[in-house]
Amino acid sequence: MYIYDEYDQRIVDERVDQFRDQTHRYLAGEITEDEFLPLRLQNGLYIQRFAPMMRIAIPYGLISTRQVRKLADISRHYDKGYVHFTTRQNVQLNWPRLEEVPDILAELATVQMHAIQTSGACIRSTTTDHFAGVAADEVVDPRPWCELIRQWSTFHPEFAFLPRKFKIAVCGSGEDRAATLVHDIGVHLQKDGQGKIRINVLAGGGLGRTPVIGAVIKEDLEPEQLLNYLDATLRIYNRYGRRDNKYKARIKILVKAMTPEVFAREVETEWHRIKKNSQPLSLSEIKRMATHFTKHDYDPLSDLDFNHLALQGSPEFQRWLKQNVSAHQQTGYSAVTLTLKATSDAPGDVSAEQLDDIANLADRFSFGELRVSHEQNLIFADVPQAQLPELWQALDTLGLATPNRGLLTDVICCPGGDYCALANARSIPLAEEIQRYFEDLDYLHDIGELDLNISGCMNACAHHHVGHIGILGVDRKGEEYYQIQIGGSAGKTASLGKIIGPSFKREEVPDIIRQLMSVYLEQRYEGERFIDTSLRLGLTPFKEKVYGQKAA
Amino acid sequence: MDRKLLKDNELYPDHSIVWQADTAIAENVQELLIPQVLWQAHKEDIRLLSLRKLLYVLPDDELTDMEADLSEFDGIAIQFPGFLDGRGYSHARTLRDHLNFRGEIRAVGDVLVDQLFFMKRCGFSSFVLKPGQNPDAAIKALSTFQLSYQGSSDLRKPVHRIRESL
Ligand code: HEM
Ligand code: SF4
Repeated sequence: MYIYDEYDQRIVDERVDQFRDQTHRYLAGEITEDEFLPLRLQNGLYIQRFAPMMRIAIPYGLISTRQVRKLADISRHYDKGYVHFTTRQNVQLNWPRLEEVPDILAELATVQMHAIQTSGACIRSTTTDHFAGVAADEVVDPRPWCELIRQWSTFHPEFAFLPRKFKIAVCGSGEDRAATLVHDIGVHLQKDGQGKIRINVLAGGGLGRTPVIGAVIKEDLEPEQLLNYLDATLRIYNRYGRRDNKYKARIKILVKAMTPEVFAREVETEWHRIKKNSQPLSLSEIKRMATHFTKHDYDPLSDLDFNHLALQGSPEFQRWLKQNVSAHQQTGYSAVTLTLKATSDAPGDVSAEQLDDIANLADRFSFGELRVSHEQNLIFADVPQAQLPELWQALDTLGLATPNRGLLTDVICCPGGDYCALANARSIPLAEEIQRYFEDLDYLHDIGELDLNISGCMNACAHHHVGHIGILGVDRKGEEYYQIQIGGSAGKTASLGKIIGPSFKREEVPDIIRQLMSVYLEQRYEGERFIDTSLRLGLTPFKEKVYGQKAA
Repeated sequence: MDRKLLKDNELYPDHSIVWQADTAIAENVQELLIPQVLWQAHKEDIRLLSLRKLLYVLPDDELTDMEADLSEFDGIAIQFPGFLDGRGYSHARTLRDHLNFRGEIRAVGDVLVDQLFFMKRCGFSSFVLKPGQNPDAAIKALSTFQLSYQGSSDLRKPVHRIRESL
């Protein structure tokens, strides 16, 4: 992973000093509340329903065990002994004290971490495939490009006060596991006929109140021009994005208003101007970046026969092996997902003790590194297959071997009404009710791959529009209700879900989901996933089942 | 006029006004900020004025039509209606990088201590601070960071170029 040199370290150290000074001036009354707001936001600090909430960057989801242990220590010392992994591969503290935030930042800086631009109307931390560098379907390793983007965007002087927040996601594989089509900018890395890297750039995707799928605005960009091209795109957005209405300020509204073609033309003109005066990314810098992301020191192992491996273990191990273990580029190795989705734990929450245990296991089994996925799970990316039974045993003892990755109970869930002042409804208790209701693992495995996303309001923090089943909290005369949609997906053929009809009370939701499943189970073709069946059949049969004939 | 102009690490009283075609100019005024629309309409009259003249740029303005006239101004004042409105940063960079303006570029309006570092990097060379801002903090803020990851209009070497030159 990327390791700071003295320059990187100096930059984060100076940030800590800057924020300490800003906090000090704020507490001394020199900076007003309104003026302090963007300053603290650009350091990931929200004032939430009950306390400040602090979002710490895990750039593109990659974290070392040393950093994990530091997070555990920080959460014990400055918070309530747990952390929350987010849908943007970051991590949050829910109860830090404002006065202590500079100290927390100083602690983070000792392990090359920070909270820079995790929030606010600026370029946010970049996200990518959680299997980057190990995915079997990978064409270009996105991590060096993510780090180049991270550095370019860090304290970018021109784009610290954009109309609205700005999120960039990078994908370098066959399947898109980074939801790039619903980001402000999606960066697609690929190779041309001669094996040279070329980049397609998408713009104007996003969720929230107005969900939009991004459009391609540039094809076959030379990688040396990536940052110049991003500068041009951001400049057009900064100059022409709407600032009169917060809900119309994202780039998706601008791209839609201009049309993607006109927007692309404007960017192209600006890019040509920029190119004249700015140096391209140097090949030596691209190379230097790549050396930070070389392959681990893998042993020369052969792939094991998983059927054979499965037969040596319990049914629980077999389910876990099938569900939570993914293919790897390197023969003899696998990637393992630890779902943070055990029933009764809030999705994405991990205690300090668990963090320490997880760090110990990652040291033992996976080169001392972890990944955070946007599904709010953790990943050991490089586990020798022969050690899978041993790893499972250890995870099972810790309650971290829930074999539900990608299944109905692997719920993606926003903090909702339990933490968030904007919520119409609570999300976490609904996730838990669903997990309790669908306890039967055989049934879950029979249903197979299913993304279930729950957002507590229109802001769509849990990406409910692109869940195969998306649930949205709504307020009906002061009561918590839940609207259900189906048919959303986030991959390269992203689609937005469609609402099936009037909303439900919380206690009704699990059974409604079961009814949707029964339609699927009756009508699916051999091997067809729920999402594909729902797109093929359309809403009608699902509506009829749930609301009766006349509703449909 | 209790506004302070920060320029070359020194503070001066601000003696500028936004020029309007039909008002008399008070005696202590030393600089005129000329809105683009008025410049287009009254070029000849404005040329006759002997005070220092700065083109006054608003966030919505397009600067490309002004390219030929820029040399007639002693400087450019870019207005920030609110500190959250970041369009002025792009204006400054366009002036420095693409229109090759080498004179003074001044930030006016809602100009706060914690914006100065970014402004400087985008090519601003002077700042009329919003009243109430701490001048010492302002001067200090101009050198918040010694290193930058990206090149910008201040021509500062990005960190990767520093690494390469070692
Ligand atoms: C608890 C306090 C939170 C508040 C008040 C909050 C607020 C918001 C708001 C207002 C938006 C909409 C932005 C827009 O439309 O442009 C948003 C989007 C988003 N939030 Fe949150 N959020 C909170 C926590 C979280 C957490 C904990 C996560 C991760 C689990 C998260 C993930 C996201 C994501 C991924 C989006 C992106 C949707 C998009 O890009 O269109 N949020 N949030
Ligand atoms: S979706 Fe709504 S309720 Fe959930 S965290 Fe975001 S803003 Fe809060």
